[in-house]
Amino acid sequence: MQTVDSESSSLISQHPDYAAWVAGQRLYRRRMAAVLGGSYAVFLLSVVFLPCILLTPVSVSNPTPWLVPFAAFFILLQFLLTGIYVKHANTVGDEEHERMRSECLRLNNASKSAAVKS
Amino acid sequence: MKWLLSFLVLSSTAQVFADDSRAAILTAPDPRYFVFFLIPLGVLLLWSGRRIRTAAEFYASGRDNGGIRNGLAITGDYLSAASFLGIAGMIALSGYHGLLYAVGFFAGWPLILVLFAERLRRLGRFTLTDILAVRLQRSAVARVAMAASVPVVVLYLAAQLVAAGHLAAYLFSLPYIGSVVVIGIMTALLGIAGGLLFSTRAQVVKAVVMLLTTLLLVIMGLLQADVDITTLFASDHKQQPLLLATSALQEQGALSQLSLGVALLFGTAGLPHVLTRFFSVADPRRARMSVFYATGFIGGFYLLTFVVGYAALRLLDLHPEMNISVANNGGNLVALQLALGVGGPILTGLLAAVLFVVLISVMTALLLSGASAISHDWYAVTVNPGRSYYKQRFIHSSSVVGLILFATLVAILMRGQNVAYIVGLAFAIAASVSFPLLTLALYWKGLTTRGAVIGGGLSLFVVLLCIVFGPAIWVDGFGFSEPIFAWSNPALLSVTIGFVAIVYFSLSDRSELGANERQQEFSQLD
Repeated sequence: MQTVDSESSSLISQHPDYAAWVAGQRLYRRRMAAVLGGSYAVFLLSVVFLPCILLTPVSVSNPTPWLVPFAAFFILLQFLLTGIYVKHANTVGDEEHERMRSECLRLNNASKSAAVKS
Repeated sequence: MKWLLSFLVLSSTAQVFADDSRAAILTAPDPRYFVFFLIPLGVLLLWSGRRIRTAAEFYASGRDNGGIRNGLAITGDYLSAASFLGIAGMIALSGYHGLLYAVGFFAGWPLILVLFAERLRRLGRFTLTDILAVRLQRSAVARVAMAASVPVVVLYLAAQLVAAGHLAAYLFSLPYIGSVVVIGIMTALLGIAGGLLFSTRAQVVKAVVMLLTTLLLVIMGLLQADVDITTLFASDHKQQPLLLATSALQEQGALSQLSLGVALLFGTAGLPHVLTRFFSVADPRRARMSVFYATGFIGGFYLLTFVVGYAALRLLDLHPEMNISVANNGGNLVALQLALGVGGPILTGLLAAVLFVVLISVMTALLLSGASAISHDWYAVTVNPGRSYYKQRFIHSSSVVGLILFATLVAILMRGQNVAYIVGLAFAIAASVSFPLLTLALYWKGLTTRGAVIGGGLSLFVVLLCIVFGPAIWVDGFGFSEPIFAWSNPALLSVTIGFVAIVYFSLSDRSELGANERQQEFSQLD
């Protein structure tokens, strides 16, 4: 179990880019939640209100109703969206956070060394 | 595995050509094969995972896992044999809304990752009580969290008991009530003894065995059910002549269907413990990757249930002697009927053994979770903080017995229900109480203890009332002709009431405590 180290966190929060990074992460997560929730809403509303379309066979030669590929597509879409979210969090989010953290630590160490010398 | 596959294919191919013997095989599973597979499976799980007794041991067991391995462990935690049996049956009984269950159970999972996972990880709190207690009064919110979690545990336990009871009754030709009581006693004894909290390795084994067995069933179903994939899903089945029009859910109207959809989505999100193994990986990147893999495995599993449900339906069309409703009113046995039809008693025994092991492990985990909510979160924190160890153990054991008794009674009352439907009701409670509390605790500064206690309590009262007076218990359980609350799932109403009531009672809180709680800052959540 890993929680955020409080000393490191308070250091990063002083970085000039930190507020923008937090706002960006928050916006991205909310957009992704809206896309995930919105796609489910489309699926649910279609199942409830469009049964006549979803029960139509895919083609004359294939009697599978549209509902089956629609449901399978929805599951694949959610998997894909999860992948996009994870990739974003593991690259853009983490790398930016790591950059700010190392800059803060470097500045902190430099100021400590200066204080010791003086 | 290759040997086993060849053996099963050969044995079942022989059956296809031996039509005379097949009729007998189709209606009579052989319990010896169940025992034959149950013993090695039990040994494998016990061998693969040492017993985990403490939270520290649990987190240590997951600390160094790679993405795929931890993803499989999450899948093992997440997959429910009861949902599998129920969804396959629901698809076979009502293909249209069966797919809604399969998709709905899955859709909540990515949403909790995005909405809650990062915040909870940074907060370092993973149970509802702990999350609420960061800013609110622990003793008060512990009562709400306990009151919210116990009905979910009881209904979820009842769903597992219904599945296990029908499974045992089917295999051993026992009366259903006797099977449920025996399994209930067995689970209670395991719960009192400390349960079977599986390590990561054992959950990996559980997930792999369940995925492979389902895959085997699907392959053999497609090979043996005399259909190709394009005609498998066609809606011209003899046992399901009016695929859509006769669905009970359809008759209840659009709001009832929307309500079910809301319960399935937010019910998962109201169960933060499903993310526990996400937090056990030390490196956040690997943890996220493991969730990505888990999403793939879980999504794949639900896609397989589509095929299991429709293949069962197609096979049963060819064999009217295997009527779905005669075997089980709720259609909970169609997966086993399919296994019997395409793989004979060997595949049935294998599938039943896998499902039974998964059911027992889920039941003991649920029992421990419910008993801990009562004995630790409620009794030890709010009622008697200076309790002795033995007193708390006594409360824990009494809670185990009380929960299993209550769940057994509910399982007897709901014997004719589809298991996925019962799980849907448990999700309705989680969606109505835990989900609003969790969302507002993490995203709204205005939440106060008063709002959480009164709003959460009101929402719980409404959802329980709607379930008791709804079709499942009032009509099917108590035998009344008409339900007082018509929707089969009340989530749309109760989730709305939950959010509105919690916000209203927080905003109208004029106490000093409320003012202090509003001023407390969220720190480091983003």
